[in-house]
Amino acid sequence: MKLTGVTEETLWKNIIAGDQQSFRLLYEAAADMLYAYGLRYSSDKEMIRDCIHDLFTDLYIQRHNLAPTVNIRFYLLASFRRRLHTAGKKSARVLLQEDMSAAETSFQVVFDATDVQSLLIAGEEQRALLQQLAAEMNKLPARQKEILYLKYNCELDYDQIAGLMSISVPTCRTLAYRAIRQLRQEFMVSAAPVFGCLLLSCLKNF
Amino acid sequence: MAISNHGEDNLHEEPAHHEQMIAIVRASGNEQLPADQKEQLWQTIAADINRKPRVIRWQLLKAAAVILVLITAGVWSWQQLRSHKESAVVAFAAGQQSIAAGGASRVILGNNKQLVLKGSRTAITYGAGGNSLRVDSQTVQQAVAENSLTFNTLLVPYGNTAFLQLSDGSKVWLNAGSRLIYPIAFTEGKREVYLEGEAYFDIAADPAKPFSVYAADLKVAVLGTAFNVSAYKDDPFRQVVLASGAVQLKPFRGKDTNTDPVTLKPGNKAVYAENAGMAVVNVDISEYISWKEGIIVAAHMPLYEILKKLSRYYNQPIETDTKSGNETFSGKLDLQKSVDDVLNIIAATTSLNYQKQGKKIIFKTR
Repeated sequence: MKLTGVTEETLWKNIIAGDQQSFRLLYEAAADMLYAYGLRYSSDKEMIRDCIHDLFTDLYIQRHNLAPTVNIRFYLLASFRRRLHTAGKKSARVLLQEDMSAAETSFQVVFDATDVQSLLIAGEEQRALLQQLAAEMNKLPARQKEILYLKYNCELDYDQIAGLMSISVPTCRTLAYRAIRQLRQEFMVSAAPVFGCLLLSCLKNF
Repeated sequence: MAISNHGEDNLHEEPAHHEQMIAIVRASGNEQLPADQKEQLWQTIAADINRKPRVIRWQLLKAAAVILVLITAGVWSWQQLRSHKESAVVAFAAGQQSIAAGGASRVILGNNKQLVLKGSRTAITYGAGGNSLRVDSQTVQQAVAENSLTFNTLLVPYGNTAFLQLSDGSKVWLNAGSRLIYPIAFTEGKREVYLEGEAYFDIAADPAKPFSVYAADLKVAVLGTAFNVSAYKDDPFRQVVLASGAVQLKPFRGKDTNTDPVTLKPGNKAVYAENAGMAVVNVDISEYISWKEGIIVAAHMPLYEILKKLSRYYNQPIETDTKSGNETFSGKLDLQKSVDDVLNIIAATTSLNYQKQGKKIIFKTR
């Protein structure tokens, strides 16, 4: 979700004041992110579109009750997730579970290195390694994938991720740490050792 | 973290690679809503936010009794629609002056006599026939007319609240700065009252005589239920919060009179203004009805809202600069305390302080 030419605060303030142009801007900026996020829990595209529709109409109609300062991305994702869950309970097609502390969640993502754009991985060999890394990432438990996705794709922080997934912040950190450790271990064995070590730098950030 | 100490050297050798996993995550799961669908979806959103009032989606009601009550209410309001006659209580209200800003609470009796109430938290109880009313320990007799409704008016200026039990047993808590007009006996086939200000109603069930509250331009139709209505003249919105039972809302004057009635479920709050339409949301009702117990419960309530409530309750002008006015606060305020105590509590627990300028109190960021 990228906003150009306007700060989050200003946009949000305008929306609360009833400015429909700002509201449209928010929709344009956020719809794809929400759509992609919805597909992580359900393949029912119509239901996902319905949830986006309800999220935005309710947001606008109830704008007088909105907190004046929020992290918009987190607000939208959290509200959207609740809606997906409610809609899913009705249709029983969505896989989102109420108790997120259950061993396995339904979060579904296929990590794929094809679209990674970086000058650092120009060579064939490095591309192959990257695909291998993606393959290892796909073996991670769903909840660890979910945290990686929320952290790096949705750019949420641990407090927000924990809030969204109804887990504690330490649990959230531990899960993320485990994901990275597992990737490192797997990669040490299966791929070039040098590449395995690289992941250590991820650990440094936790 | 404990792990990061081995392999430090490698980190510095190849700093770029730590971003590779992140790059993969970023490059995955980025499906886009097809452009035509995105545009279409926006069109339906734009259409829905500009339609008013908002129609609430119905959920299946399980209790047969509730359905029966609602159908009765529905049929009744449909009959009301057909007759389109202005309510007697609304006509009576139009001929009466609006509420004064201060002074003691008063009951205006049918013969225009005024009963001045002592104390700022008075309880008034009407006898079952409507021909007597008890104010604290004093009893007043009043004749009930045979063929027409006799209206009484309870005036509760700023700084006061009152409790009222009507002749049908319904209970009304009136908040500061409110006026309620009601027949002393409900001799007709319906029970209708008029409200300006804020009141919490606990209505005695009587399916044969539907109850309705006319609040400014909004009509709240009820059958055996408890709810809060806020319709102050200086507030831009009318607000109804339903605690239990069911109520049906419909503007009875202004340009929205032909809109469909909106039915509330317990926990719903409806906000209405003629130019903005009706919006319904779910709320924690305690925040809206706690005033009748002498408490303000705030959950992320903007400061200006809190101060407006205090200002009415204590009959004391309180202002704030716009900057701190929009800050939100959560917590409880005990209104049994003096106004100074309450203001000091706010100042002590927030980053604000206040000063007195003449009779006015002004809150500012420290």
